[in-house]
Parts: sequence; C-alpha cells; structure tokens
Amino acid sequence: MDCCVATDGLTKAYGETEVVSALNLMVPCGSVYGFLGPNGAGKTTTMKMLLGLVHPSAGSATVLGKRVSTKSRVQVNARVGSLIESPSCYPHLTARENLEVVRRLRGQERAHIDEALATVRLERTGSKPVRAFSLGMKQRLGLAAALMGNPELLLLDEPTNGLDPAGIQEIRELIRSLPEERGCTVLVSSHLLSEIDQMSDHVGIISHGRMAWQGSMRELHARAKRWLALRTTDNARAAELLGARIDERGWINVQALEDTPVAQMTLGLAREGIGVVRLEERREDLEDIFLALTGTGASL
Amino acid sequence: MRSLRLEFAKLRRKHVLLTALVLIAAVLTWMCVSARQDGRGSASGWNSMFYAAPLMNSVFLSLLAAVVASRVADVDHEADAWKQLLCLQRTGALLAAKLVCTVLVMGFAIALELAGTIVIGRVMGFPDMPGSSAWGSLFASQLTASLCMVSIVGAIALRWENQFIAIGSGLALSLAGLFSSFLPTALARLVPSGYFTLLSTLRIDWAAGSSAPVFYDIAPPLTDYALVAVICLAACAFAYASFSRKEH
Repeated sequence: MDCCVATDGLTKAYGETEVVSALNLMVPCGSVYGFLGPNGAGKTTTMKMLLGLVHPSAGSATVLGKRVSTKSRVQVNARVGSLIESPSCYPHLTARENLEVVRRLRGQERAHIDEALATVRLERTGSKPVRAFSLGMKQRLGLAAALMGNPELLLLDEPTNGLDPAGIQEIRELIRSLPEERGCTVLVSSHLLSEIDQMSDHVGIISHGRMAWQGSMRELHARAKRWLALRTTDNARAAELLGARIDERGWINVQALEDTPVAQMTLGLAREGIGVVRLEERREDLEDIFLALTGTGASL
Repeated sequence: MRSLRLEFAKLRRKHVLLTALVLIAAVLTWMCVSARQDGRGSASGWNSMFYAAPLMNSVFLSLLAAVVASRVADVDHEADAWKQLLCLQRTGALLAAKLVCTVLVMGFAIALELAGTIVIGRVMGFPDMPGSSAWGSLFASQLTASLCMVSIVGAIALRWENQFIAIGSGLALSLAGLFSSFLPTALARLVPSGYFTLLSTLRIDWAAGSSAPVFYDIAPPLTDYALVAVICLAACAFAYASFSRKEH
C-alpha cells in the first residue's frame, strides 16, 4: 500500500505536556482518510507538523515521498492544499482577489480561480469583500484556496465548521468525490464520528495525542459485534433453554448465528410451546466501538 | 519579485498610498509656509528647505514609516494568513518582500516630497537650485532613515499582533524625532527617528554672529550610515528570529 502521508513516532511536546505522542499515521494514496478525535486530541497540531508549520519534538513525517523539514516545506507544500483551523481570508479583498493571492503564491494560471470558485459555488460573489461573507462562505473560500490547482494531497481540518446542513452535505460529497475526480488524497479531520463515517474510506482515531486505532472503515465496521435479540411468549423459560440472559429491556440476547441454526433454535422453542414474537439481528454501532477505543462518545 | 507583487496585491484598498500622500501634503504645506516666510527669490531659500525637510521628516516620515510598516504586517495578521503563506513561501523571502514593499512606499513618498520641494522652490524663484548630487544625497539620507524606522516598527508589528504596540512605538519615535535635533549628537543617535536629521549633510552654524542662518555642508556622515545599517540588521534579525520560532 502506497502512503501519501506517513509519520514515524511523530511527537510534539510543549514543555512537559505531550500534545502528540509517537504518532504513526499512514494515509494511503487515493483515499479519504478521516482523522477522528476529540477537541484537543492533537489533530490540528499533527496536521500543522505535516505542513512544516510546527516543528516536531521527535519523530518525522513524510508527505508525498518527501520528508518534511524547514528546508523542504515549501517544495512539499507546492503539491499540497490545506485548510487548517480557520480559513485564511483577506477581509478587505473579494473572493476572487483572495484566490488571486493564492494563485500568485502557487504560480498558477488564472483559469484555476474560476474553477475553484465554481467548485465551492462562490462564483457570483462579485465585488463583495470577504468581510461581508458569512462564516460558511469564508469556509468555502478557504476550501477553494485549498483546492486551487488540483493538489495531490489535501489536508482539511474540520472543513465543515460553520456550514449549514446543506453546505455540510455538499462539502462531504465534494470531499468524497475528490480521489476519483481529481486523483487526490484527502486527510480530513473531524470530531464527529458520523461525518467521518460518511466521508472516509480510512480512519485514524487519535485520543490524547496517541493513535488509538487506524485502518479502513470496513475493518472498523467489521469490529462490530453481532448478536441476535429475541422476545418470546415465555422469556424466562426460553432463556433457560437457550442458556442466554435477559437484558434490562426484556430481550434475550444470543450470539449471532447462521440461518440454519437460527431456524433450529426457533423450531426448538416452538416445540417447547414458546412462541417467538420478535427476532432481530443486532450489531454494535460505531459509537460503541469508538467508546471502547477512546473511552469517549460519538461526538468526540 | 513575485513575493513583492503579492505584498502590493494584498495592500489593495488599504489606502497606504493615500496615507503617504496626505502626510507628504502636510510636509509640503509646511514647506510652502516656510518658503513664503523666506520671501520670493530668497538667496537661502533652497538651503532653508533642504534644512527643514529632514526636520519635518523626522516627525512626518517617522509616522508614515510606522503606519506603512504596521499595515504591511497587519494585513496578514488580520487575514490569519501566516499559515497559508508560510506553507508556500520561505520565511526570509516573505519578510524581505514586506521590507522592500515598505521601503518602496517610503521611497515613493520621499520622491514626491522632493518633487514638491522643487516645485515650491521654482515657484518662489529661489536662485541657484542645488545640483542632482545634493538631491540624491538628501533622498538617500531620508530613505536610509526611513529604512531604520520601518525595520524597527516592522519587527514590532510582526512580533505582536496587536498593532497598537507598533503604531504606539511609531508615534513615540515620531515625537522623539521632533526633539532629537535639540539633543547632543551622541544622544540623538539613540533616537531612530533622529537619523533623518543626522544623515542630512546640511547644517546651520548656530555660533555664527549673523542674524540670518549660516548654512554649511558636511561630508556624508558615514558613521551614522553604518549605525543605521547595524540597527536595521539587528531589527531584521530580531524579526526573523522571533518569526521563525513562532508556530503558526
């Protein structure tokens, strides 16, 4: 598996406090990698270290095959688009003029400005200065700046902050489509489990500066425990026969079974004169998995 | 060059040139009043203006240098743009572009002031207009003193996001410039805005027993130029070091 971003024991300490501890991040090329963690977990600091804006206390980061350092920073970032924390917008300039600054910085053609504005639907803002933009519009402009010139890698730090529900959905769809449509890899951070679940195909869970788990979303979902929950006309006896326990809501929980054993179980209960009134297959949801991995909840 | 153009692009609608125009207009108005007091065709008219310009610049150009240096730094503070810029620009190149941009604005202001001085002198019919070397020397001295001011205020403006600190420092230096010409040379050298007069090559002989001022020329004060170079280097080194250490 080719990795566009790889870190080796990446650590950042401020005094005695380690904000990021020995992080080994692996972002596969062409993926949307969700970087999930509670506020203050070290997501932004990690992303800044990947951009060379924060100097690591220990360890190293390799981005697009080049080791990030003060010297290589500009060279590496020429191929990277980023939106870290709040968008960088000159409030006295228009959206187009702001992107003109980015275009000049990147040495790109003017056509990229129109393309980026159209992508985030800001092409009709005309001569309106950015100071008159809503938070969501500024966030879109920040995204447009990150997308300028089709970067090979996008680092997006909580990109849906400040957007309305429609905007959030739109940006999620955009991010999801980027690997296929533009061939770029996306590293997107969020503290929202559901958001990462909808956007990403890979995930890294960071908690207290440490990587709690990373892998594909499929692997994460596969970690979910499955079981059967049933209710019968005589739960006590059914539980005794099945060797199972009744939970506090009155459901008998038995381990997940294939179709044939399930049929045998229900027939066995029927032979004992016990009617099955409800039979459901249940699986642990992502929230429970995250809870187990990080010791926190779904909205981390 | 690209970085420099970028600095000017960012300053769009920040009215930096308008500020320069207003302050230079104030200087020229003062010069005009002064020239009228000297009288039409005054023999010492040009010398009076050459002597007065650095004095007024120590106040007005100090103030302009502070405003421009602060604006050039603040435009990126305000936009929270450092993280975006430093991803794609080297720290040294970015700071150098800011310094050059500020110095160019100051150069424009000084050139405008000198052009205005020529017009005033011509209109007043002052005889024996100084040659190009005198104008060149005055321009160089005022630009060098401006460089000293923008280096110091620029370093402060970059270091502290609150521009009240930079503008306050500039204002204090501007006021200090007003009084620096009354200080002994050794003390005047401690006041950055004092270099507007220290670097000028025209002096008045206050001891001369004449009712009219007696002007005399001195050689370009190379020691003072060297001191300005040291101050600028120290200010730039401070700006670079504090900026490089800062994490954005």
